[in-house]
Amino acid sequence: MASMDVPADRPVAVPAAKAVVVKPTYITWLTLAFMTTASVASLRSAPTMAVYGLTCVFLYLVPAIIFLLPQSLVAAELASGWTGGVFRWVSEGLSAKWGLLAVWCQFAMTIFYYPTLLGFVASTLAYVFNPDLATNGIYTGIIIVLVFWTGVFLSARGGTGGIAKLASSGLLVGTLIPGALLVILGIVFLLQGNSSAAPMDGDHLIPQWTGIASLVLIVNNFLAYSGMEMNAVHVGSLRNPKSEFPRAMFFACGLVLLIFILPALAISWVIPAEELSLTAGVMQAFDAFFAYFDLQILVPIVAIALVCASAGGMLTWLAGPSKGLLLIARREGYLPPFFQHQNENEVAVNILVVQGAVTTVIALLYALVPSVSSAYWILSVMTTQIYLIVYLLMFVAAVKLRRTQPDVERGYTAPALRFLCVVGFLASAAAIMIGFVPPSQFESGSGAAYAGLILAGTALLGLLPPWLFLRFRKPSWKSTEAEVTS
Amino acid sequence: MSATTPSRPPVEQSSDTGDRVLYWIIGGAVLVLCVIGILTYSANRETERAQQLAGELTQKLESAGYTAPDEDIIVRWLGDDGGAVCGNPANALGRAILLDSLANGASFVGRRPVIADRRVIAGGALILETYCPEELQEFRDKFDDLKFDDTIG
Repeated sequence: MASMDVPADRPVAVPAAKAVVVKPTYITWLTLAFMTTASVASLRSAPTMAVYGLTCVFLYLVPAIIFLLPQSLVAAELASGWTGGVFRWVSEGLSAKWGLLAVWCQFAMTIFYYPTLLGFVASTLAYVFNPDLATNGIYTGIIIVLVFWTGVFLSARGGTGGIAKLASSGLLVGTLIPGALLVILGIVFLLQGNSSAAPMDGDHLIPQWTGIASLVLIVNNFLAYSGMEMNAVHVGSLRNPKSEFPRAMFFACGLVLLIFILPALAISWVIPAEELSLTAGVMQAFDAFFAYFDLQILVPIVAIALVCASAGGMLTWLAGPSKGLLLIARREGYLPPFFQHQNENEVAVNILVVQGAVTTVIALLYALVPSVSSAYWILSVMTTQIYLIVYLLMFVAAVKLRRTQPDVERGYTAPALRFLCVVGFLASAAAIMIGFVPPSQFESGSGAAYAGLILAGTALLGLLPPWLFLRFRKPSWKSTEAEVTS
Repeated sequence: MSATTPSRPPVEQSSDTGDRVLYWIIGGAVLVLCVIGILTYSANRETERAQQLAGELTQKLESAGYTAPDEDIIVRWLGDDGGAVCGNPANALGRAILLDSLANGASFVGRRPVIADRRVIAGGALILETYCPEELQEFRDKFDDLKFDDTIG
């Protein structure tokens, strides 16, 4: 029987997505907290925010209250009630089609994100070995492809357990230890009797109000906490998800805040804003910082540490959204059987490989085609817009689940859930609106044309593919094995 | 439907030899990179020219109303060639690196451009003017049209 002849309500076994013996693993709540932290925070942003001095505390704390808190509490409740992560929450709360949109948005944005992350890795390595390489396209392309495919290999081979180990190690070696070093040196600087380079009085806590630019700065910082919910897809790997996931989430929130705020403050104590000189990337700022203490021997070590943290974070992003996409593809049959294949570590290898091929092409364009690299920042605006759609759906789903499925036992019940969801939804919507305001990088042209470009790109990348999946899916794509196990 | 224990009984985390070997290889590679980095990373030498250029930069920073660090720190930081700041800042990837720096406070997927303060590149321009003036014009041509605002208090 041809696949197209199968009635929609009669799923059949999918030959290509044949069953494999999976090796599920347990991880501890602390490991999951480290994975979550590794997906969101590193020292990469410290020099960027150090230029704002004490204001960086405001720029992180206010978004934490308005966006991080609702996001974390809501995700904690949802993950303590339903396994599977955002696709499951949205599928249960709204519908499976909305669930597909949510997980696709989470997945698709990473494809365009990896080239900039790995471009950062390449320029950071170059800073140590040969700074001229940082602007060499061939070198950048090779590093991006090499690191990315190594990540794919490790993800496929290690499964959740392996990724958890590597991401946790990356966080420890690449962020926590060097971050603590920066803070200690910053405190030593102050204890030596030096006055802080950035004013640390109450007048400098609130950002200077310059109208739309200040609004863009504050609201865009909501996105600093993007991804806190992503690792909820691994909640099934906890021994007691109901109590352990909320614990992991709250611990990760604290760590993320510390990593974001303290190193940025430490740098601002030592280096004046105008000397941070971001023209050569963030390593230049770390170099200036260590030059003050005559400890430049630490520059290459911190550079390698930043690379480790970035690679560790990348592993979590490779594993999380692809797993969500695999789960909904198998459960609902939204993707062809080829994409439903998982290896013995429950990793969606075919999804990862195809994603890798697409990412490789984009990354090479980024590295080798000048017009692409110069304009690549536009894609980062589009992809963050796409990710915000996930949050809109998550907050709506949480409210609906509380109403429609109140009897599902939740290990953690978020206080004032409806209020949290309204705040989180409005924060996400505000961040989407602000995404249409042209940033510094938009040198000339019409603001309306810019907004149209962002809107079109967001629709093209975020909405069109899931619509195509739904439009062309076949009933035979639904995996009976997934039905049994879900 | 709800999240209790997984439907299949999970087994303890696999710690077979192959995985261990892989983790040791990764750890070893990181260590080797650190060692090579320390050996190849050349901290700037304190030459007479480096001292002179540091003095010039200090004057320029102070004339512009900025705080200048000690000259010794500038020498260690920028040497006599401006270090990475002078490394082709205006070509496409150099430009991409700078544009990527004019961002919000996200480290990973939430990274997004903002309307930055001119001071973020002001210091860089003075460094170029002092250490590699031949790069300055191209840098200005590429970056002077960026839209800035006074967001730093």
